[in-house]
Amino acid sequence: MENNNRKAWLYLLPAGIFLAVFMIYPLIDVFIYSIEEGFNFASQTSQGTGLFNFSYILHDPYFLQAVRNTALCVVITVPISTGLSLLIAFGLSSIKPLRNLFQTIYFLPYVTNTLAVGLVFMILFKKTAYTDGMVNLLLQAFGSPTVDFIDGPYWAKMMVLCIYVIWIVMPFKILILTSALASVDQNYYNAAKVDGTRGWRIFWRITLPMISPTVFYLIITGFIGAFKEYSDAVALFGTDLNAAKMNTIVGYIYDMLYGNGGGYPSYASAAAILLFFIILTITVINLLVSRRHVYY
Amino acid sequence: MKVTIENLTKKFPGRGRKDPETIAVNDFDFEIPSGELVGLLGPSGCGKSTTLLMICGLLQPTEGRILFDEEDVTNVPPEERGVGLVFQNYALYPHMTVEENIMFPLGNLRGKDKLSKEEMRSRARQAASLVQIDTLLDRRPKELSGGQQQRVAIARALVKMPRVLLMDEPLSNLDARLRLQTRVEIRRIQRETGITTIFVTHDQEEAMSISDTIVVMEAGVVQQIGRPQDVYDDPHNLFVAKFLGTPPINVFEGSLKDGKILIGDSEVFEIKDLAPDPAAHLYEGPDAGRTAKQAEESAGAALRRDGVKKGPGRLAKDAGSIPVWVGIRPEGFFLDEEGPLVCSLKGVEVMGRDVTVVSTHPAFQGETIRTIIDAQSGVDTTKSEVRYRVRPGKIFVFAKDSGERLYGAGE
Repeated sequence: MENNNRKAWLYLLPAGIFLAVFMIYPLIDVFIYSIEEGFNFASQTSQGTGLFNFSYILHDPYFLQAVRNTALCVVITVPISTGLSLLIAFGLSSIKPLRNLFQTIYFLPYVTNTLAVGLVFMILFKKTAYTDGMVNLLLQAFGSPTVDFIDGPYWAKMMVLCIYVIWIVMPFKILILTSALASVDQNYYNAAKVDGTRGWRIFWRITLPMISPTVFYLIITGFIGAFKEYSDAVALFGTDLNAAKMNTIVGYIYDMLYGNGGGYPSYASAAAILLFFIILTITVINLLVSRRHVYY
Repeated sequence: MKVTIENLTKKFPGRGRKDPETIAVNDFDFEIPSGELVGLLGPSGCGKSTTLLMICGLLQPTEGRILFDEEDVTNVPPEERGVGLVFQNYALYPHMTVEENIMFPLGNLRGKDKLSKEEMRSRARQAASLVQIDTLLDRRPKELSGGQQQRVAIARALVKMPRVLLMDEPLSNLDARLRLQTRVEIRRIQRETGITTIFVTHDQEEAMSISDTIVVMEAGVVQQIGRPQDVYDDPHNLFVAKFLGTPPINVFEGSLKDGKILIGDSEVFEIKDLAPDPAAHLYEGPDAGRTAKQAEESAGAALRRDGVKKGPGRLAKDAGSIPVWVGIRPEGFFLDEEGPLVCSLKGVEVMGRDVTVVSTHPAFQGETIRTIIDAQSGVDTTKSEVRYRVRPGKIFVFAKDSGERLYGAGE
């Protein structure tokens, strides 16, 4: 037994070393950076330790803007994308003809490059000297005033970002939900049918509880993904997100490290630590809620 | 509720041009009297589950009609037929408690049938106490044993007071002991409720033990319908004879000549005693206790049914020797030093009440001949051979090509 234990540790060692060097050490390092005040990257010296970095970023309007943007994005995109995916997956599993075709179409955004999708959104939404963008043309057709979605009012930009995020995360969710729906034993539906159960009742009382583990998995990963939102905002609004007032927390961290010459690893680390705790809290809440509603 | 099935046929289309369509059920005709327990019996793939699903309404027949009493329900959707279905894997909703599971069908009722929560609860409790699970109402299916889950499934099927109860392999997921217990239980519940019940099984013992009537099916075709004992004593063809009975019937390659049944060159039986064997009730076989009168009745019924077609008269006239299959029930042998059937002895299995003698014979179809002999008669295990005489009524002759029975059951 003792011998076996030693062997087990030996086998785990390669993975352990990699984890230690590339995960655990940097994590500790980030934490140390975040409490070192006035850290100078070039000389590797600091003026002391404390919580000044946290205080600084919490008073930084750019950070607060980033937090607000991220939170809005999370609150809007996660429920809508999950709900829509559920609807589409349910629809897909109820039809027989053309199911594969639709499945492929819905999956396309997943295999498309973010920046390419950004270009498509530009064509849809951006106002240029030559055209107002397709969405604006549509709006005009209905007689409503045009809006500059990319360089215009905040709500318009936020809307475009949310649509973009929802659109890009849905394929994966649809894929997972379709397979979850397919794995529900047909006998449950037969039993419900013999008992004369109506469609909605079947969905709420049988289908949804049966796939609840998958739904909660998607909600939790959806939250985490949305909190780490960055590249989509860049694809839409360019790299100077602060100027566009569309920065996100991850974008803020990146800017602190590299943007405009960068060189503020302490602030970046403090922001990263804050983001970590926000995600941790939300995930714990999610898990607590799911424990009450998931039956497996 | 009387259930009538007329010319029921189900064809499944083939997959593509080269794959022919499958005829799962072929021209099934049957009338189930009200309040009976009927077992659909057959090997897997014989169409018995398809038949059940058509009666239930989950499958639409290709041809034919299904009637409940006089009402044609062929095109009625399952929920309006008033059937209860117990699934092979029970299909209990894992996220609901036992009580919620049993109440679920009641929650579907609408309009004038709508029940209050209290009524639903009391109906569920009633159904639960019928199957004796009243103490488990707050558990989830995962926390129940297989047998308990089975009962919940039956309670859920019974709670809406169905006109017909259908069960798909109700016992196949239970272990051997529980199976015995549960089949008695199913019989009791069926008797208590008086609901016409149809169940599907591939286990002949299960079907024989609890059914009022069994329907033996193979390859979508009904082979024989009758009371379990009658079907056993009077199988219409080789398939039915082989399918019923444990140990199974012993089949030999033999021939029929001048009213005599030959296995190899030895003459094992002479077809002369048309009257039922008066000694049929005397031996201590598995169906001991069956009176001579009953035996006479069933033999008489067989004669009336088969009439001239299979009468021994026709056989007697056949001068030449016809090759046939000879089937002898395991309990149809008795030891006789001078017996015509000489088998080489392989061993003896003691079962207590009786012994199973394992032997071989060159004309035998299969591995070993298994015969059941009264424990008292004693087999000399030092010998290398065992000689048998055959009991009348336990030997059957089947046509080589069609498997149809030519002689047997006291004809």
